[in-house]
Amino acid sequence: MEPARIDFIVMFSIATAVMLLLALSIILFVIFYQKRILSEQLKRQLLEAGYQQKMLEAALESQEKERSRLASDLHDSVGAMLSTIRLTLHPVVKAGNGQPLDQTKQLLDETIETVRRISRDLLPASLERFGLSHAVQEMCERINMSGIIEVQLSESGHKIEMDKKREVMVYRIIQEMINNAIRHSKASLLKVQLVWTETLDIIIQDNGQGFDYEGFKDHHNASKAGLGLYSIETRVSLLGAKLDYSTVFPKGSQFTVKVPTAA
Amino acid sequence: MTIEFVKNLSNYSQWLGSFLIAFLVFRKYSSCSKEIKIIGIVALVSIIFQSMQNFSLHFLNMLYLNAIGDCYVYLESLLLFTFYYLLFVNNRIARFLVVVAAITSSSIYVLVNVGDPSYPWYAVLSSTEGALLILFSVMLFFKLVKDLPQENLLDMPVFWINAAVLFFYSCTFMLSLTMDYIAQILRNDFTIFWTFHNFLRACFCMVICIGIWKARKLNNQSNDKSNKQHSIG
Repeated sequence: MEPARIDFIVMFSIATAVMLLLALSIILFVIFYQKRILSEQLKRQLLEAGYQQKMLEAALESQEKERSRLASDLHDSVGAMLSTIRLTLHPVVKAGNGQPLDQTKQLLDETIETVRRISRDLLPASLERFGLSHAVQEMCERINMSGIIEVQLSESGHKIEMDKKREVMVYRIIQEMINNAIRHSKASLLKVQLVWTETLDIIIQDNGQGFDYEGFKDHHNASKAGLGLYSIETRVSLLGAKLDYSTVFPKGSQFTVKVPTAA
Repeated sequence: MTIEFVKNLSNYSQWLGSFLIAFLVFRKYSSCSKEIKIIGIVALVSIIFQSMQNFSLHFLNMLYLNAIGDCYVYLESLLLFTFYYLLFVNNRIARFLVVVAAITSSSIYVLVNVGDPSYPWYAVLSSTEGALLILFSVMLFFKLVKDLPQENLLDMPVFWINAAVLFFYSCTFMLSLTMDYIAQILRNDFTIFWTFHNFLRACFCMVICIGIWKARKLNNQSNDKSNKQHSIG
């Protein structure tokens, strides 16, 4: 084999190998660069999501504190003052025997009851003292007594102790769902089920007119309204829970929330 | 195993590669994107010109016809430039460069036919095509990196096709440059070099097939999604 030929083949092979290596390195660079940038973006997104979650938690916590302060102010000052007024009015009513005073006393009784109810709604004392199940039961009984709607509460499974903060959030979700059903569903019967398994499953079913959940969400996201639903979804996300909605239109709707019992 | 056998094997494997691309594209031509359609046409042109070359070699007992080879290289370059023109959306400079490249190729092709026949036109034509396509494939990779698509690059058909172009034209660039030298000085080794070219071309076709397969997969997924949306609605 002549040297010139060998030289050519060697040079040709080296040049082709260099070109091939360059091409491969460009391809590999593109793949790894994209992966690296995407993983950095993902990390940043996770950090942002974590920060937002903390902000939401802080906002809800301060909301609960504010509610608690308002509830105790209403109960301890306004409620107490109203009760004092009622006591001082009592002898006057007895002595005067007049109808306007009787009406005033009745109005005062109603006001005292309203203040108590608002105070209870703001922070149910039973939730702090006896836990979630008892507080939900009390809420359902109160609604039943009001006669607006019939609420049937059932509970099954073995109760699992939950963190107080989580219990408050779960309570608020149930409260908001029941309020939504009362306000919008035009239902006559509301079934509330608490199923304790590895998770706490809250099933709220009504026999109302049902509604287009996705449509409602889209519409209200666009108009930045629907605060009730937004607050439910916020709490659900903070609890790491899962919210499902199903409708049997036009015969009612059902919300299911699966809440992990531990954070 | 003789050199002749390996040469034939490489020849048929690249033919098979082109056939596979054309089959995959033309089987569902209407559902393919414009870029994939162009690649299908490149494969079809390749099959036609290879068949013409083989026909002239075997049945007419003629030697390799430069006119067929030159015409094929020119057509292939125009089609691949069109492919890049379609991909450089919203990039006027890149599109302008592609147009300039097409004009350059056309000018060289005119010179091939009217210029001095002793001049190594094939080397000029094919190495210019190779250099320009390498440039465009690098530019497209740069665009991909800049745009930063969220999906996995390996699932993108364009990535595979562009990688195939970069790989093939980088590997054959030296061969294109020295083709006339090999044909004249190393006449006995020409078959070996051309066999090497053909095997690379077969690999190029296989990588493009992966891209078309990915495109098919993406197409099926989007069809499934739209079907599901219909059933919900």
